[in-house]
Formats: sequence, C-alpha cells, structure tokens
Amino acid sequence: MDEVAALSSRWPAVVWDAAVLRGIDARARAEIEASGRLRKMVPGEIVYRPGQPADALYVVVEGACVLSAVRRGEAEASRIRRAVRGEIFGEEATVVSFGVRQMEAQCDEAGTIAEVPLTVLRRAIGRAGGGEIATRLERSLKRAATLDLLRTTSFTRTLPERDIEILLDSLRHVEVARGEHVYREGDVADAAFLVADGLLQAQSEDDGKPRVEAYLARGDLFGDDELDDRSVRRVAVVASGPTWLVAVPRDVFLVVARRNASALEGVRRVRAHGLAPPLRGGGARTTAHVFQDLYRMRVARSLLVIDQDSCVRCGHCAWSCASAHDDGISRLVRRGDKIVVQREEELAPRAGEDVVARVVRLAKEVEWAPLLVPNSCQHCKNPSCMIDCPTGAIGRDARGEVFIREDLCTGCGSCAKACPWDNIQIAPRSETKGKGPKSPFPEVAVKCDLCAGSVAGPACVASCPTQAIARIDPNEALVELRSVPRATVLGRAVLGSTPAGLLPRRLPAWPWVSGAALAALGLALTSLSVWTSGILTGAVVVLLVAYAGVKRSTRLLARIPRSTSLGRVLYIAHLAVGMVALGATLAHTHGGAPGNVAGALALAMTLALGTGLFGGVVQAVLPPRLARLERGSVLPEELAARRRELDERIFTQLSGRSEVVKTLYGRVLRPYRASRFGSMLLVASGRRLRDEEKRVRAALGGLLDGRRSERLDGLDELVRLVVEHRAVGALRILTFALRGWLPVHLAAMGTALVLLVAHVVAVMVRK
Amino acid sequence: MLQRTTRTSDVTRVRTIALAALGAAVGAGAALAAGITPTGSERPLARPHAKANIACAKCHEAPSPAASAPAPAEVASVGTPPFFAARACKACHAGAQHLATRTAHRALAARGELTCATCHPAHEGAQGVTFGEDGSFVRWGAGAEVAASRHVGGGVKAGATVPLIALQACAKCHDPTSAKDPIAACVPAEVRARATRDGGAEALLAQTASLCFDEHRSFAVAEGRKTAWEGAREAATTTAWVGGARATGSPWLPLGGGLAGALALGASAALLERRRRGRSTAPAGRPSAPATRKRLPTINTGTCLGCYACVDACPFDVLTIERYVAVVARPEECCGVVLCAQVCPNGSLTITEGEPLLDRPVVDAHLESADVPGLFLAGDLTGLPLIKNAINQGVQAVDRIATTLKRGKEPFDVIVVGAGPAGLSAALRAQERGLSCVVVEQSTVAASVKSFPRDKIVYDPPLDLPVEGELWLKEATKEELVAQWTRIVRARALDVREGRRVTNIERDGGAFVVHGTIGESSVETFRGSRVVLAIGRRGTPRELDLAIDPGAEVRVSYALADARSFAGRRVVIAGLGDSAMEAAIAIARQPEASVTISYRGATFARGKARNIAEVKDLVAKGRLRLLFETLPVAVTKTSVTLAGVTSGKGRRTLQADALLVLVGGLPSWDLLVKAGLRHPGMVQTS
Repeated sequence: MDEVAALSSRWPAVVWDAAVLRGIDARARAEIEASGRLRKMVPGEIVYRPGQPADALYVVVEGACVLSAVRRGEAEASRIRRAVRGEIFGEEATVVSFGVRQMEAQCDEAGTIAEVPLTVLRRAIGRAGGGEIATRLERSLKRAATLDLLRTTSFTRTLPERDIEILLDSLRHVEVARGEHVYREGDVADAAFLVADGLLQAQSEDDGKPRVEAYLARGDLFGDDELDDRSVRRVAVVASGPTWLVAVPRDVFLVVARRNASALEGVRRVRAHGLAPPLRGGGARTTAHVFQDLYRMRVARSLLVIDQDSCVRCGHCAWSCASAHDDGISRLVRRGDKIVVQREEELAPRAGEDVVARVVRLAKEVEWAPLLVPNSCQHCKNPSCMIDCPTGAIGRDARGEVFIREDLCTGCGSCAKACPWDNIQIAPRSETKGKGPKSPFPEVAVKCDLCAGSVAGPACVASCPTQAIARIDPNEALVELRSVPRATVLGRAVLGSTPAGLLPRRLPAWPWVSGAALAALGLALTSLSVWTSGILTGAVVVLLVAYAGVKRSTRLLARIPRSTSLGRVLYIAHLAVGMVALGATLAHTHGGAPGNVAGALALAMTLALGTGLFGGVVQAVLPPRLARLERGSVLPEELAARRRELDERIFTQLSGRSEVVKTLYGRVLRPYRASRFGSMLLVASGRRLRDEEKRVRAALGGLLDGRRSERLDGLDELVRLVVEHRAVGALRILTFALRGWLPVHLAAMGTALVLLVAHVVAVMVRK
Repeated sequence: MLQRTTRTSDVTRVRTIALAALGAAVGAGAALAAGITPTGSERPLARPHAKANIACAKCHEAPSPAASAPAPAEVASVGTPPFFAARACKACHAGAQHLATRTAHRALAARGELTCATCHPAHEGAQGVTFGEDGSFVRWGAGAEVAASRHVGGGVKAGATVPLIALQACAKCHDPTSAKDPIAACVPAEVRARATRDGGAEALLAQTASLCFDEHRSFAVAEGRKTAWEGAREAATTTAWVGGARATGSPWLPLGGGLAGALALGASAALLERRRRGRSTAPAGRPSAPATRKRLPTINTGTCLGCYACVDACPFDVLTIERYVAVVARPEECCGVVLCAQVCPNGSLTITEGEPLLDRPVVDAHLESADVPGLFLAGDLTGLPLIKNAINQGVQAVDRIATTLKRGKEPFDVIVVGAGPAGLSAALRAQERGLSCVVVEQSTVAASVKSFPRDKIVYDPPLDLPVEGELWLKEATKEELVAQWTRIVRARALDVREGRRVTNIERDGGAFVVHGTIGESSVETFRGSRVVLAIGRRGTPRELDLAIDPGAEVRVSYALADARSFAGRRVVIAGLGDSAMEAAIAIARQPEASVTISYRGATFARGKARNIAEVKDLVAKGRLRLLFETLPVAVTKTSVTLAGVTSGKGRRTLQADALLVLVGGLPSWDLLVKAGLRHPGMVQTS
C-alpha cells in the first residue's frame, strides 16, 4: 500500500511525513497533488504577506522559511520561527474561516515548498471517513496556529516554553459573532482572553448608551485583571465583527502569571493604554469614536467613499453603475454613513506655531472633509457573506476581491443578511442573458464587483465629473487605522496624504474655464464674418451635445484604460467649450434675436448656455454648504419622508417630558421648526448643523438664565431634531438648485438643436 | 428584512431628463411646423426686385478677398448682415445716371453718408407704382401689391415703374413737419398739419410718400419719365400706402414650444416614475383575513438548501435548521402567514392547511361573525397576531359596516369594544367614514400594549401590509406607540369610555345593547346597530389559584410595566413563555435584583430561540434561578410558596418581594358566548 502510494506520488515523501499529513490515504494524496503545487523558492522570496487571503498551508520540502510578524505593542516585525524541512507553516488558515494571513513568510534558504489547498485537504480527510483523523488534524493545526499566536502576543512571548505548553494544553477556543458579548458587566470572571483575530470593544454603559472604553485587536490580552481578586467583570466586551478568542482558565492564568510576574508587567504596560483609565465618570480619553463602526474600517480592503464637499449630487456614479451591468441595476445607492476626516498635512504644526495656536487653528479654521461611505461592497478581509453562502456562490479572487457567481446563486439572501452593512442586495434575475441554461431561481444576489472586466476601473469612479468618489484602502489611507486602534480614540479621523493620491487630488477646472472665458471674450469683441462665427458656433454646439453622448456611453469608455478620471476631463472640457460657445454665440448674433428661426435659436442657445453657466456655478459653490447641513446622506426623493420622520420623532421625544421642556418647545422650538423661511435663512447663513444647534441652544439658554436641572432632560435631543428638521428643508432647496437646472438645460439644448438644423437648412437653401 | 435593489432617482432621472430633451425637440419642431415663425431671415422684397428674383447674397455678400476692399462709402455697415449698398445697387442700376442732383445730397453721398438705400429701402418701407395699359396701375409695397381701382390720365407708358419715397427717409436729415424746411413743398399740407396737431408724426411719415418726383434728374434727361412722375404723384395721393407683408414672427414661439414639449414628456415620465416607486414600496396583498384551519410550513428535505431564509423570515421562530435542512420546531407558534414560503429560494417550503383551529370564533372574509350577523371581530381575537394586522382588521371591519349599514337608526352606528390597536383603528375609520361611534374599554387606551416591558421595540415584522390610518409607527418603542395613540384619541376627539368592563352584549331586534359595568355595581348601556369586538386575547390574563395573605395583593401582578422598578428586589416569575422570559431577562439585568422562574413544565416548551438562549445563559451565569415542575400556590408580603407539580416534590418557600404571573391569557369566551358566538371546539365535541 505504501509502495503504491509512493509510486503514484509525485510529491516527495517528506511532505506526507509531516505531522498533520501523516495517515492520509492515496486518493487524498492524489487529490492534494492535483490541486496543490510545489513551489521552488529562492532566498528572500515572499510566500505570503499579512493581509493576503489565507487558504492554504505549506510544507517545507527543501530549504527553510522564516515567519515574522509585528508583535503586539511593537513597531517592527520580528522573527517568530523558522520552518525547516518537513515542517508546516501557514496553519492560521485552518482556524478562522476565510481569514487573512497575520504573518509574513519569507524563504530563508533556497528550496521547495508544497502548497496544500485547505479546502481540498479538509474534503479529502472528511471523505476518507476519518472523523478521527479530521478531528486530530484540526486539533493539531489549531494547536500549531495557537502556538504561533502565543509567540506574537506581548504577554506570552517572553514565557518559557514550558509555560507556553501549559497554556496551550489548557486553553479553549471561543468564536463570537458580530454584536455578541464575550461577557457582560457583572458576570463572574473565570478566564482571561487573548484575541487571535478580529476586533472587540470593551464598553461600559453610560446613561443607557454603550460607551467604548477600548478597542481590542489581535494579540491583546483582556479580562485578566478581574481574575486576581475574583471580582465580577467591570466592563462588557462585545465583538465588533466575527472574532476568534483564546480563553485561558482563571487558575492556569494565575499560576503562569505568578511565575512570570515580569512578563505580566509588560502586559500591564500595554493595558495602561487600555482599560486602565477610570472607567466611571468618563475622561477626556473616552470620547465617542468618530467611526461609529471602527470594525468596518478595519476589515475593508477597498472602501467606496464620496467626498461630500465636492460631490455635486448628479448621480452619475449610480447611473453608470446601472448601465455598466447587464441587468441595469445599480449596485450603488448614494446613501449611508458620514465620516469626517482631515488631511495629515493640515494637522501638522506650522512653522512658528505654538501648541495653543495650533489647537485654536484646528478647532476654528480647519474644515473637516466629510466623506460619505455609501452601501457598496468593501471586499472585506474576512467576508462574512462568503461564510454564510450555502451554495458556495461567493468567492474571492487572487487579489482578495469578493465576487458572486450568479449561476450558483439561489437568491436565498443569506449573504445579504450576513453582510453587516447591507452591501448585498437581492435583485430579480435578469432574463435577457442568453448564456447557459435558465436558472430556476428567480432572484439573485448582487453587489459591487468593482466593474470586473473593465480596464478603466469601477464605472462610478471613472464617470464622476468632480472626482469626488474614490475607492480607498482605509487601512492605508486613514492614519488612525494604520496604527493599531488605541484605547484613547481621536475625535477625528485623519486622512493620510502619504502616499499621495489615496484620495485623488481633483483636476482643477478653473484654469481651463477661465482661459476659455478669456477666449470667449475675445471672440465676442472681434468682428467676425457671419459665416465664420456661424460655423464656429455650430461646431461648438455639436461638441457640447457630444458630451452628453460620450459620457453616457459607459460600455465604450470601459474599454479605454486610463489613470485619470475621464468623467472629470470630459466635464472640464464641457465647461470650457461652453464658455467658448457663449463668446461664439455673441459674436454671431451680436445679442439680437430677429423674429425668425435664427432669433429663436439665439434665445434657445442663450437659455441653454445660461442654465449651463448657472449649473457650473452652483456645482462649484453649493456642495460644501450642503455637506455642512447633512447628518448622513439621504437621497433627494427621500427628503420629504425624512422630514415627516423627524416630526414623528419630535413628538415622541416630547411625550413624557417635563412641563418646562414642553413650554420651551412651544415658545422657542416649535416656531423655529414651523418657520416658513427658516430653511432659506439657514441656507443663506451657511452655518453648519453644529453651529446652528449652538445658536438655538444659546437662545434657549437666554430664557433659562443659566439654570439647568434634570427637568430639562431631552431638550438637547429636541434641539437636534428641530435643527435637523430645518436643515432637511434647506437640503431640499440646495438639492433642487443642484439638480433642477439640468432638465431646463437639456430641454433648451434639445430645442436649440432642432432650431439649429432648421437654421442651417434655411441658410443653405437661400444660398 | 432582506435588502432589495432599488432604482433610485439617480438612475431613473437620466431617462426622465432625456425624455424632456426629446419632448423639447418635438415641441420645437411642432412650433416650427405650425409655420408662424419664418424659417429664414428673408424679408419681403419690393415688386421689381422680387420679379427679378434677386438673391440675398446679391446685396449682402461680402466682397471676395481678391477684389479690392470696398471704400467705406460703399458699405452701409448698419445692421447684419452688412449691406454693400453702392456696389450692390450699381450692379443693376447703371449707377452714374442715378445720382442725386441736389448739391447737399451729393456732398453727403461723397462722404458715404447717403447711399441708395438711405431713400430706397429694399425690404420693409419700399413703396412704388407700376403702370399698366390705359393708365391702370398697381401700387406695391415690400412683398405686397394692390391693383388700383382707378386710372390716371396723361398717357403713361405701360410698364413704367416709379418708386415712392417715404417721408421718413427724408426725416433722417430734414424736418418734414416744418413749413420752413427745404422739402416743405414735397410734404402734403394736410399731412404736415396732422403731424403737428395729433403727434405720432413718425408713423404718419413712414406711410406718406414724398411728392417731389424728379428722381434727382434734370428734366431734359428725363423727358420720357415726366408723364410717369405725374401719374405716380396722382397715384400716390389718391391711393393708400401699401403695408408690407408680415415680415417677422416671434422668436419666443419655437422656444416656448420646446419648453412645453419638455414639460409634457418630462413631467409625465417623472410622474410615472413616482407612481412606479410608490407601487414598488407599497405592499401587495393583505392577509388580514384570519385562517380557519391551522396552517403549517412543510419542507421538502430533498431540496432544502439550509439557507436560513425561512428561519429569518419567521417572526415567531417556528422554523429552525437541523442537520442542514429546515424543520418546524415550534408548530404551535405558527401564525399561518406565508412569509417563509415567499422567501424560500427554490420552493422547498410550502404552506399546507392542517387541522381546523378550535379556539377561535368563526368569522367570514369580512370579519363578520358567522353566528351573530352584525357582530364583527378584529385583532388578536380572530387568531391573527401582530399589531399591524390588528390595525388593518379594525379598518376592514368598519369599511364593511360602512358599505352595508343604513345609518342613524340607533344612538350609535358602531360600538367598538376594546381600545387596543384594532379598536382604535376601527373607531378612527368609523369617524373618517362618518359613522357615529363609541369605544368601550375596560381599563385605559392600549392597556395591554402599555403593559409591555419598558422600551420594548414593538416588533416590526417583515410583513408588507398596507397599514391604514396613522396608528402605526415604524419600529416604535411601545412608549412611542402608546403616546401616539393617546395623542390621536385626543386630537380626533374619539369617544372612548374608559373603565367600563363589558359584561354582556344582547341582541334587540336589529340592534345590539352593550352593558358595561363601572367598578363593582353601576352599569352603563350602549345601543348601537353594529358591534366591533376588539377585546384581544390577553385582556383577561390567566390567573393562578393562589392563597394570598391579606395585604399581599399588591405583591402579585399580571404584567411587567417597568423592569427598573424591580432593581434590588427579589422577584418570582411564574411562566416560561416569551413574555415571562423577556420579563425575567429584563429584571435580571437590574442591579441587585434576584429572579426565580417557576414553571410547571419539565423543560423549555415554547418561546423564541433568542429568549431561550438568553435565559439559559443567565442561568449558567447564576443570575437567574429556574425551577421546573413547580407552581406558586401562596403569597405573603415577604415570600412566595411553590408546590411541586408532580407528587414527589414538596413545597418550598422563597423569600420574595413580588410575584409576576405571566402565564398567558384566554379570550373572554364568557362574553363571546353571551353575545351568541359558538365555540368551534365545543361544536366539534358536542
């Protein structure tokens, strides 16, 4: 039997003698050999890096590989172990479903390694009926992976091997899902926990709302300080996302800790940044986190963000998404959470600026860039949709991008429910597709596929006229995420500006537009013959109209590889040509409009160019004002409903409040909310929501004369609501200004086109 | 609720705007086709020029670059396109013969300030006379002519043409209204008089021909023309000025047509889109008629994917996944709504009708009782749970009453019993439809909803039911819901009589008499044509047979109002249903509270999986005590005594501050039977 296996085996025997692969039958070996591969390695070659999908384990055939990782609490990567002939590495793949690599594996000594795909290994072992083998395999793999983990945590890395062995033998693996509690405040403390993967929040309750005390990530130790005095848990720990923990029982932990007091000191030092600050009473270090969902930022590989300060709300992104896909369904809905970020360089102290001046500047002058994070697939490092798919329709490609195989999808919606951010939607299966047999399932899951197959990148990004939309890797782009989350959380996220171009710098429009305006002025002032100015104007109009056609031909544009956003280039060109058109029209008509087709054409052109000019101006001016008044992002068609919803919430908030609050509402807030021109005033003032709230509160404060009592409970929330109510009205006005001119612009242009044809025909006939 | 793709305005408005542009093009085209606005810039020509078929370019063409640039004198640069006067006219009219004879005119012409066109407009304002045989003549303007009905004498040569010059042309330099001006002789006296008297000289002068007919020539040269001049002078004075053909239209018309077309197509597209959006968010179907037979999901285990779609869809945790296929775990909780079947991706799950339901009154599709015509049932009582359904049923019942009832025969058209969601929605609907209505309630508005635990999110089930009226707040806490209802009752001035417990409903001819007792003794009766019974199923909580010490009555309650009030107290909860478990969990979370659950069963029998898991977790953590197979039998001020259910177990007494009895409720069959309803179960057995 062994002989046969050896004969049929292409892979050297050393692979099959490795600890976990021993005892696998010939068929399983054949399968593994068929799907795995032998890799020749040269020294310095990287096998995998942290962050890459972990779906295989490796056996060293010849040579050696070094595993290194950044230990918790350190800045530099350090060597964890060296795998030599016959040894296995990469076991962490086996422990967390669809996890990512936490270490870097680099070839140290030239040789060969065998790559064993994990799914094949699992299936082969399962089929062989070896329930026992399977359990043994899992156990040994888990043990190996845990050993690697223990070597990277701050607490255990200095422990003697004997103590690590003790820990290994006693510990228990715990997996918790997003939102699940590891323990609650007041629970009995019976174990300490090491985070193997994932992210947790230590939180306490503050007036009914959870307040984050600390974030705990891979390598962190928590829940140990209550073990000493047998007390109950002082904070609750909740998983922000699927998390894998290692629990060390109380007794074992105390024994090991007592023997290695110095090692624990090291832990305490780390913990001083963590749970050490007084948990009650709150300090400056326990502010609410700017990212309500830090976990989302941490797991996202490619996060779609829209810079609300430059987004003109034209909807090109969503439209081009719909037209880039065969089913005509937009995966992108311009709706979602808002985060505020700041570019790094503006935060840095300036020359000759002392601390106080800097703080004042940051508080007052610096505008925080508001980013909208719409519900679009972020291609998570550990996609929970993939785990929950019953048919294996969700896969991940070599670069880690998550995709859905539509022919396998049954539309059951498991993935849509598994996605914590509603980034997967269920759509009716499109029937126009003639490929393959018709699927018996009427529905299918859809999500952003990064416009796979397009050389121009995602259509939304490519088509944006203001380069407001971008896909970023938050872990690189956002400074706060780049470093391990600290217990002391910043009030604001910082958008890194290095390396440059993580959020694209906008191609400036003003040089082109003002240049074109000068050219237009020149045109209007020089006297040109009728024919010259007429032909010029006609040609320019054709260019202007062509813009609409070109930018809407998504499929064509997807074939053009490019680095800059073509949408932006086209938009600037359109603005500049529009300016020239203004001059050319004036040169041709001299401002007259005779009582015939030529005159009508002049009027239509004036209307088209005028609305275009208006559009260009409002698109440049209004978005920052709009962004200042937005809490999240709401689609224009939902603004009316949003206002009604706020009304409901105001009523709810009012019910059961004290008479003082109700009187204040009646005297100040209700007139404020009902004010007919309030929204317009708010638009005109250009205030931010926060400033407006302060203003209203100041008005209330005047009435209260500085008195405060608990009878005023709920007043702040009411102020927030009425201000938002007014702001929604302002948003409607601004949104209408941003979007309402376009139909008029196009209607005028449509009219002008017909009249232009009539005009040209009349002129040609006369000639 | 599954996230479904939506077509946002970002996507749909592109089509709307494209349609608007198309509409604009069509509208502009239509306006052009109407022919009111001239297509070209042709202005009408005077008759001789028109007869000669002179093209625009003949006069307006710029000289080719090859030719020498025209002297400034030759270009009348006014207007667009520029008119190259001297060159253009001279091409046909042998120029030299036709120079002005007046010295002043010559001087002006030499400076280029007087051209042919100064006096002879080619388009509007052109005027002249062409003679025919026998002194007949045609008087013409630009693009128009009038054949004169009279003749001039003097033997004018046929075909002779004399242009008439409007005094307006002379008025550029002269003052025709002044008698001292050199051209005074050329101005008809009465014209001068009228112009000075009435004002409006400009219009008058534009339509009056100058009488100085010498064509700037000496008589010697123009001997042959003299008769023509005489004839023309006669013609000019005897016939009216010929107005030119309408030369221009309005340039606004095509633009207006375009915008109107855009509005028509764009607005209708936008309206259609809005309606479509409304439809797609609006729910389909209204399963508010209660089932008469127990309906249960059946799963084809051969095809079930184990995808959890049905499990997640079920609001009552009837289904669960075991060994990769869905199974019905808690059939008694099934509400018979087909949501699970709807979400099943491959039809593995179907709803089948099971045994008939025996504990519910029989009603028809309009919610009218099968036993007592005129008596309607709504809400929980019909066996269809959920607040949303109750609201819908109240509306449905009253709608039926409104369409079938002759109003005003009795003091009340409708008497609603019970002021819960179904009763309130029925009363609101009755008010809307103009029925007189009274609501009789045994305690207060929405008493059973009020008894939900504090801050309970009233379950917003993933059912798309049309919710009528204003009673429903999406994802409201029960406080919000009750506040909203109370507000509506006040705002709409609904006639709600609280504190009247209905003890009997009698039939009196076609009417109903409802007896409500206030307190222990006094009775108020209401007489109405129809009755809507919306008394729910928890209105009368099931009670335990307890020996209660005097003074300990307040220690026993049948609903949990606010878990926070139990902080630091010892509580015994009887029952292990969802409400009992939720209450236990809520109280156990309070600081220093100790909770003991007493349940007569030996294990968890029913309830949501989430609640069961939570209770087990709390028990494991020692924060909750669970005593199976026990039953509270006695209560004192400081203790609760439990007895074993099976004979083997003895009694034990627990120190406790309160006893919560949460063992469910029963429909008031007493009242129903008195009202004439028959219990279907009893019918079956008897």
